[in-house]
Amino acid sequence: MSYTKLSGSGLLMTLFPGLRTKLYLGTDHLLLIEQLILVERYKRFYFRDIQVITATQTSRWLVFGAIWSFLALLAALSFFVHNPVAVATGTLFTALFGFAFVHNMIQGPTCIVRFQTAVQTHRIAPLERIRDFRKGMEIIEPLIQTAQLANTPPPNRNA
Amino acid sequence: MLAKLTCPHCSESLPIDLFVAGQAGRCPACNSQVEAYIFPEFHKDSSIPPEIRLAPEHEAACYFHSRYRAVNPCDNCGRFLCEICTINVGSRQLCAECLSQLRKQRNEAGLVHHSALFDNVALFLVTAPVITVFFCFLTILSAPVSLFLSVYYWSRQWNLLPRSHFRFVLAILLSLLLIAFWVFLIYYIATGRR
Repeated sequence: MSYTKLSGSGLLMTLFPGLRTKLYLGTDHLLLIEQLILVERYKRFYFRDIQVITATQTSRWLVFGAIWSFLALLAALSFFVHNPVAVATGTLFTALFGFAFVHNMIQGPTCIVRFQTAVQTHRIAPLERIRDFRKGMEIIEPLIQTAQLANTPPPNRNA
Repeated sequence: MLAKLTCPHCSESLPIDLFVAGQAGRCPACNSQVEAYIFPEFHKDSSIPPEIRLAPEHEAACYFHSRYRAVNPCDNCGRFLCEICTINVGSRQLCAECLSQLRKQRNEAGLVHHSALFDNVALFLVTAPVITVFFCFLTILSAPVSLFLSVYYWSRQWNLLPRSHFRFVLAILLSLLLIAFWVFLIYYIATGRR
């Protein structure tokens, strides 16, 4: 079975090895891969089982934006110190936090995405940017609609 | 029982007619913006029990319940199954035995739900003690173990989606470096004492 990557975890999570989540598109299901340090867990959401997909806007991106900008400004204070080592270190950290800030702003608003089936409601971390969610839904929604309209009611081959 | 749509923020029930696909609605209780895509499966009544019919004479009966009429064959083993025994997994219909087997089957057709990341284990064994500094001495044991794991699982590690060998290569290089360091240190101490 071939899988196409829909979305991965964000920049922050990519930096922590062993705490990544990725969402892949299969032929009849979505595959959520949750990596927990030394183990990889696979969760399959079949198109025919998904009842609702909800997304709620959050202010997480603003909070992270504030944190990154504060850290970048804090690191930039080293420019006032007349010490080449301090300036070099400060430049490095300012660039690092500045990049994180810009990346966070470019990625755009965050949201909480949940897939609801008859037996569970699961949070889908890889789609938790509004932009990724919209892009993902453009692909997923028609596939779910097609699968559910074609498969209702469940086939009864001998009846 | 019909499925319920609830607000992810306050868990209050949301009226379905509030939502149009791709457009956000506001929760009447907490006023948070919620976008919901509702699919036909949502409107299905899950409280309706499966229809079970007794198998008339000369008609196929369920492999597990000989009194019940078979409605589907298992897509994996071909056994006849009644409504109770049929498990829908995507487009496949399976019996409980086959589902259990497929959850252990490590190939693309299987339904395996987890796999170990031996490349991460090997890398962890050589990097974690060094990073902590205090436990650096543990690398005398962990480096050979890491080297063994990297070589042994080089072609044996199985994951649903293929992974690169980058971590294995890194673990081998680091463990060789650490082993060389310990050999040198032991040799130095041994010759220094003479």
